[in-house]
Amino acid sequence: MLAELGHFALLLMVVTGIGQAVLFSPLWLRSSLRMFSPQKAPATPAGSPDFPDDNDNDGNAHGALAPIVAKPANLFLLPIAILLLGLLAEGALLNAFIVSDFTLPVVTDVSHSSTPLLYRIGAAFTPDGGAMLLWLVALSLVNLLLAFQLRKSASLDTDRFARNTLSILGMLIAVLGVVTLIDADPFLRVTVVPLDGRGMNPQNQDLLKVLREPFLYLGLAGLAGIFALTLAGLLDNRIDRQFAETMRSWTIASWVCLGTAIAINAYRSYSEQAWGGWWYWDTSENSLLLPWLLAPALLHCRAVLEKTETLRSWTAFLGITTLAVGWFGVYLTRSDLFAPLPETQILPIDSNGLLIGFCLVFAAAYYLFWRSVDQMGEGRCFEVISRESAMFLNSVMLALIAAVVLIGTIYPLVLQWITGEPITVGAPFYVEVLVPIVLPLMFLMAFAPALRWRQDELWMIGRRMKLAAILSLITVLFVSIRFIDLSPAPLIGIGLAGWILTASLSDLWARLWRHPEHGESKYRNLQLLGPRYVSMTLAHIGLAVLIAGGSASSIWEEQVVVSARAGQSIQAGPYNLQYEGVSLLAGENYATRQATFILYRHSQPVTELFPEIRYYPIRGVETREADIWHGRDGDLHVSIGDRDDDGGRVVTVHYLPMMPWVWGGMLLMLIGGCFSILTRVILRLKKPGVSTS
Amino acid sequence: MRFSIAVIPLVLFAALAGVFLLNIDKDASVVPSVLIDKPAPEFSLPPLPGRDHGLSRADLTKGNVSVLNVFASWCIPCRAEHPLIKRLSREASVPVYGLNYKEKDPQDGVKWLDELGDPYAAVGMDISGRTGIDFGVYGVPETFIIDGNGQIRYKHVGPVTVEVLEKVLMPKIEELKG
Repeated sequence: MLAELGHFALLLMVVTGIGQAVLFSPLWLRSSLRMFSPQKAPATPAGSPDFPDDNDNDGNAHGALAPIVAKPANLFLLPIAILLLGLLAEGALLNAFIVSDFTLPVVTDVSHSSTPLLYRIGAAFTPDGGAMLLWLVALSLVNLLLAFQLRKSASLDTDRFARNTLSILGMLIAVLGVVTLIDADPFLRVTVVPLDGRGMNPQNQDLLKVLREPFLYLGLAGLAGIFALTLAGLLDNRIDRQFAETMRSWTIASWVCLGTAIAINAYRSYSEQAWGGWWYWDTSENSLLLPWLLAPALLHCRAVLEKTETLRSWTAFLGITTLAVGWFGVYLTRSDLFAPLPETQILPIDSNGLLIGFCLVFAAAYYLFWRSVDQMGEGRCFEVISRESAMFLNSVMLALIAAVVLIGTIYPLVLQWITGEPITVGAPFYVEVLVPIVLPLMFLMAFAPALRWRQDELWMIGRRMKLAAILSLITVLFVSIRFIDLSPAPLIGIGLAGWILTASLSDLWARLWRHPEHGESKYRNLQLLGPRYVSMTLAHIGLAVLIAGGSASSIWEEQVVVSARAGQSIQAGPYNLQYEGVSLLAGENYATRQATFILYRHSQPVTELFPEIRYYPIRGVETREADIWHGRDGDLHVSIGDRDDDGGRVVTVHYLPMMPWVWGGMLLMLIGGCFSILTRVILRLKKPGVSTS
Repeated sequence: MRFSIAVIPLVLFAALAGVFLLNIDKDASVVPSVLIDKPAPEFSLPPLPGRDHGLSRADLTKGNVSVLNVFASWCIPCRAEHPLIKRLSREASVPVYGLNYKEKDPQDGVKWLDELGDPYAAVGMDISGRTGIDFGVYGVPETFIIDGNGQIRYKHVGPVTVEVLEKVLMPKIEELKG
């Protein structure tokens, strides 16, 4: 019964979504009709005589609806209703998974009565229908938050921009809801009820993996918020300072959510595989990477827009495209274009609706972009040597990287359609093409914080960057002398990481030791930094640390593969592993062969490690779980394989120096983003209407 | 209409969307199993105890469409799908062959068929599971549709349900026959 209720809630969600799209913006309908009409009337700037303000208007429809939408209190009615409906639907689906209701084929497909409760809940997000529903719920949350935010800034209270934004979001909710209902309805029932489910994919049976999905879809929903803001800005010709400020938190928040999902992905593949790698350039990873790369591009050119009112069209373009690649990524991973899923669904489900919806939404968006970009005046030009140009260059390079990743992802597909030959594009392609873009990007990245807005002098920068340049050169020299037979690429990576690190720190240093003016408090310098600067520095340092760790661990990685017998000791780096043997244990819904290793560092016992091979009888699948020790100078990564012919156990040990830097760097970037959002939210709650500087 | 550089995203988008939309129905050609449209593997299996005919590849290449159903007495979903296999063999008018997969005791399969009814034209007994591996079986029950030349044309993993039978298997069989 609950499932039917959920189904009904989902239906109602679509209806209310359409309702929000229409009710919030009768004017939007009119102005877009005008935009698409053959007379090609130019888009009217906000506040022009064509559109007097909301309360009295010439349109009949609007006249009737005005009382409903004009009152600020009613602004919340529909978003709250949509969110409640979404939560109801999600709750119904979760309930079906929790009680293992096998009359729903989605439950049968990915769950089993023996699956532990936590993973039954996690399984609810993995089938197409569940994922779409989660996306919808995240979207309705963003919808409500955006309504709240737009209401808060007093000037946006009743104007068209706010209502257009919500109207577009309502439309997105409706489109995705319809796609869910047509293509992947999670609430359909079957008549012949299977006795039990087919079991969760054991690869997904992991706490981190369960957490990944909500972050992923929250990130995508945040991008949808940006998309709606951008389109509303385009419709009203309001791509300006205030627009950029409104967009800021959303950009950072989506970036943080997507980044969390990516970090989880990376850590999962690191701890699942015996190879000790953490990035494989496969489709699901790439489709996450694309929006994650474009979000900081947007963040940077948005900052330029906020400061100087330039780069309007580029910001608008990125605002649309970031969601486009995110959506496209969902389509790629959800469709069976790449890895035909071996788990056949009981009902044939395809994701064509997702593609058709994508085409409709973005064809309209890009068309609108094209039509309104001419009306968009650019602000004052900026000099070549200025912070604006550095940030612009940065966003262009990030967009280029994203383009390369996109091409690498879809090229095999297109080629296969044309020639029928399946090919794969792997790490060598990406490394070869991306390194020439990433290296200059990182080189320039260090400059931007030290540059002045508008105009700067070359010699001044030289003076400011002197220390950083010297220190990073020393690092490179030290490393290359100490390890003479090094290939250049990772060396450059380490050097550039050092360069960003020292540049960020010396800039911070210079700001902190600014000579205080007379009568200023001692802590004035600290106050002047501001949360924006702190979070930016954290994120930049995080990237530097990540790249340093990645380069270093790729150079100094040690791999040992042995056939071990109980009591044997294995040497890797400064560590010594003693193999104690394998014991057979029972997990909650799996049997596991768990090996025990005692880890010694310089013959002092450090810890015990337990890599496993798990066997999940429901699907008849084996998974491997490596065990990892995060030491202070590097990770020790142990995994076990099968028994070989002469009775030994295959043991793979990786010693990856500086690998904790990779995880630490990812964490620092995320902390930087969270810090920025948190300070902003706190400031806003304390003093409404005040923005952080 | 003045040409502007801003039309480029629209054009690029349209091109990409066009490629994907044009190929949307080719999704079906993406094979759900590596064995699809490949010849069925060579095999020859002994009969169930007390029966005359086993099952071999020759049975699948007699020139008419046939169905191969992998089942086992220890497999609960097989029991659930069995009435539908009987219906399939009654209504589709093609021979349905059975592959009795990894029984502990050869008698188990016989007892099972005696109890539930035997819709199969012939049954081969795969005690070792070797033939199952050649067919890429990774979960019982599985159902293969094989054309007259012994090519595997469709594979269904998991129990056959009414939906699958009516919407997938029967149309597929009709398509191959016609």
